[in-house]
Amino acid sequence: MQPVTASVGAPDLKDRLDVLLTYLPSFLSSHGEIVSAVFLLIVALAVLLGVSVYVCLAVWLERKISADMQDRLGPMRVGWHGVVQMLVDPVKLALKEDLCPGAADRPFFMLAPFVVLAASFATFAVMPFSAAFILADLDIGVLYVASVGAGVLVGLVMAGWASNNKWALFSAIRTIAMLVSYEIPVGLSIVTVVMMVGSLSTQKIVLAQLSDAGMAGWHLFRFPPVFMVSFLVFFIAGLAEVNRTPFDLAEADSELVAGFHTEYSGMRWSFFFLAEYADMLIVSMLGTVLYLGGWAPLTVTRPLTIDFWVFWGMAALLAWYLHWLWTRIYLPRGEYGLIVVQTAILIAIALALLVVPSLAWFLIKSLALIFVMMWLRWTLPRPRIDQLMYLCWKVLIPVAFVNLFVVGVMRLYWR
Amino acid sequence: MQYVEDIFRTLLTCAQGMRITMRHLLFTDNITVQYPDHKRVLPERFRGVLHADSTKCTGCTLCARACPVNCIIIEFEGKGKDRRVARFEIDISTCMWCGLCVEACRESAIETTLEYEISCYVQDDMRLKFGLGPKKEQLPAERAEPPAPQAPSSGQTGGPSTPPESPGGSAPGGQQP
Amino acid sequence: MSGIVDQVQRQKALKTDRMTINMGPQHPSTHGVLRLLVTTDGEIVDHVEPVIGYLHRCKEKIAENLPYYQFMPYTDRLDYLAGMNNNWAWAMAVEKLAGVKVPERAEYIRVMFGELNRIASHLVAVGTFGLDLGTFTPVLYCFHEREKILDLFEATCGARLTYNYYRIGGVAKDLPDGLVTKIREFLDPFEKRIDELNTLLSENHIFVRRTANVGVFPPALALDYGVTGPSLRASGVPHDLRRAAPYSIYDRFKFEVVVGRGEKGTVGDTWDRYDCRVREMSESVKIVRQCLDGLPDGEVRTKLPAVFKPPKGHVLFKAENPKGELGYYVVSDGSPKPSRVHIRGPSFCNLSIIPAVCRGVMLADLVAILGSIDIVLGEVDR
Repeated sequence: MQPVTASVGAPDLKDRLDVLLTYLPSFLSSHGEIVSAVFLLIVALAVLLGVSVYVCLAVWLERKISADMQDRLGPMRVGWHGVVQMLVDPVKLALKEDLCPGAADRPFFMLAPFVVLAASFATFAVMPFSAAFILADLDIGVLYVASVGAGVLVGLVMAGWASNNKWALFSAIRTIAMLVSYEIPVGLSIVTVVMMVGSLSTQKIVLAQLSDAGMAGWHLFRFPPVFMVSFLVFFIAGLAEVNRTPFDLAEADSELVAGFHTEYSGMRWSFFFLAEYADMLIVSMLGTVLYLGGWAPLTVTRPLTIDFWVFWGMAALLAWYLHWLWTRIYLPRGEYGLIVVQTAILIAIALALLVVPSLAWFLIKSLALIFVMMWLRWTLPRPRIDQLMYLCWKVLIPVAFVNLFVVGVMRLYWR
Repeated sequence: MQYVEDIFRTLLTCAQGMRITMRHLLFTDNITVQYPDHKRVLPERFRGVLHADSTKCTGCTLCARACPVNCIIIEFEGKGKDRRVARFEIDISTCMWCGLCVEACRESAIETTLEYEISCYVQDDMRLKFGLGPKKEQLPAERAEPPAPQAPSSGQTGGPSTPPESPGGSAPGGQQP
Repeated sequence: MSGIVDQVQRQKALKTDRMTINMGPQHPSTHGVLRLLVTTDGEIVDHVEPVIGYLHRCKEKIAENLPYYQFMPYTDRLDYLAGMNNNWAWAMAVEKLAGVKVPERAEYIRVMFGELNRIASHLVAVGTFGLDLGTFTPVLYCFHEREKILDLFEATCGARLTYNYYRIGGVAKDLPDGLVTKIREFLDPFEKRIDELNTLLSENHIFVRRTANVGVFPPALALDYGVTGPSLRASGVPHDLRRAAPYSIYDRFKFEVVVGRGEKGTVGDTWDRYDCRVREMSESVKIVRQCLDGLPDGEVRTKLPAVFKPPKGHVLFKAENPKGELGYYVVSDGSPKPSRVHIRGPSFCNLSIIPAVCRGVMLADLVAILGSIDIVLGEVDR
């Protein structure tokens, strides 16, 4: 292979391509880190895209779920049951005017949404989507999540302060108080798991939960009920971390209008939205990694395991619901064929689960947690700020400490 | 003790609440009516847009006087047998749908209809014109007018039982004799 | 060591100040265009001043320029969640002025619809109170029930909000066919829905902790500020005009005057005010049932002269509305139009207690207290 560089006059595109193709392999082989960097970049973009798609989906799901809980229908106009709504919403937001109040601190006001978004998206780097698919299997993975995730706080405070709006200021104050406090119970419950595994690496935590019996290996079922309490503490504190109702005091709409994003509009506002839903996913994923076996598959096709009963119980419930939904609104009633079809689908799912990639298991478990978050949101009233602090400092932290102690003792004498 | 009870009760009551929302999610009917596609069946007495039948009207102006917001304008011409309602306008942008005019009318000439979709582009469309017009010579503007009394949104599908065409139909009918 | 002392010194020198903040007229939980001028010390409310008048529509002046019967549709728009009760009080005020007798059947229909509207109004109050505390679902369950009541109203008088159903000397029209059955069909499962609401909201511990011992109205203070209705009864004062000064035919019905019991905290706290409304709904159901059982046949409207002229004089009539005592003071000079009308709106008087009880509460409590007195701005500003 001879480089063709000696052509006369201006080199045309073909020449340049030839040069590139000639030198690239040798260049790459000698600079392996660049290859991996580019590869990582591509994968990272894929994750970014995936998360964005998930956010759209989650928004739609939240609207449908909340609607159904409230005996409404939710979005029905755009596409089948408003599915296309999740594509249309971002477009609408992107086209809206990007307002900045005159009295706001412009640079910080403009920057804040990006800080929030960057902080929450950076966390996905250490999420073990499957045995191989992890962007960076850091040795300090869980610690990384906790610390980078706290960057969201900076963005939110920035937004609340720079808006120069009194309600936003209230929100900023509340955000600081809340997020800083709730880092502690989250951290303490993470530590209990870390003590079991002996590593901070997210991948190692998942691997430690792998077992033939599926669910039985999960940390959630270790030393019952110690880790269940730990999980509960983690989940409640996690809810507060991501500003989800019932702990959405930073954006409590009935008190603070909209909190830190009162003054935001259009795309910048949607970044907050994106970050909130991404944060939900992070907490769910972290919960899955720490307690629910991460990407470890369930042994749902092996009879007489816990997984078998739990999964098929859920599946039956879902089938029942689907059947009800179907017959009620969209198709003529009493179609027995439909039951047959549903059964067939369920059997197909079961067979598919044999080959389903661990990535899907990870997502299924995370989405289940997200459903619980939505369920909570549409059920509970929100506590007052002092009660929230009470919950953190006087309930969750002591409980987490007791847990930590118990786990320590257990670890000392059992293993 | 209070402390433990609080924690326990919070968890318990939250779980109970969640059971209720889940029950609604799974088993309760959705009550939303998909409005333009499906419409509620309106009761007979529904007080929608007013409709006046100028052939029945005697021009007594009782309805106009009963109206708290003066949204009915009636002008009549002729005497005795020839007495006719030349102008009968209801400004439904002013109307507050109280139905007092209907109650005041002794001839049942003014009635509420089941029509409620009244949005329109021009404010003048909000003035429903039911009059028979001048007797002989007709102004060119008013000749083009008869379709106007239709309830403004009546071009839409499936208006409730009262056909919106009737006011338009009655006006040219009155011009003939 | 000296560094820390310096820091403390510097903090002491740091200028802190109270913050004045406008809550409303556009705010999600001021229930309309109410503006609260709040001075806060951090999250703690230091001083609240309600600023009203954004929805002023000169109702009292309008009344002076209209014949008595034409003011009826305007009363719908006072407390627009309880149009029937407003109609009723106006009708009774004028009837008292002119000495008009009301047929028996009309009285029963009036009581029945008044109580149904009380249920509807309380449903909104209870639901939106939940909304103020950050729970979204109960409000829709409440509105679902309210819709059923509005359907009944619509079938009877043709409107869902501005009923204009009561007339001086009776009601506009008799009940349509089958309405009695429909009302029974509504009432039967209603108590179950209240139980559901109780489980979902009233008993929820987060909710209880948010509302119990918050914003206590001591009975004496409440009376001083002219608080009436469920907000007063929650403070343990069993004052209900339906029992204290029975108008219409309320003396014939068995019902309990619901008073606050301080079940979750202090008597007269926010939870009590909420709970009073929930329990009053059950009492209203009882009254409606008794009405349905005793509903006589006959006329529903007394014929009045074409030009209705009450004699000279003045009258004050008060009725127990869902929000409290609605009073009409009517002065007649013998002409077909009233010479002067004054309306005592319960929401207006109830709102006046806010500055007195909202000192030193948290900002979130202010929202809860405001929600618990259940104001309607149409009535505050008139």
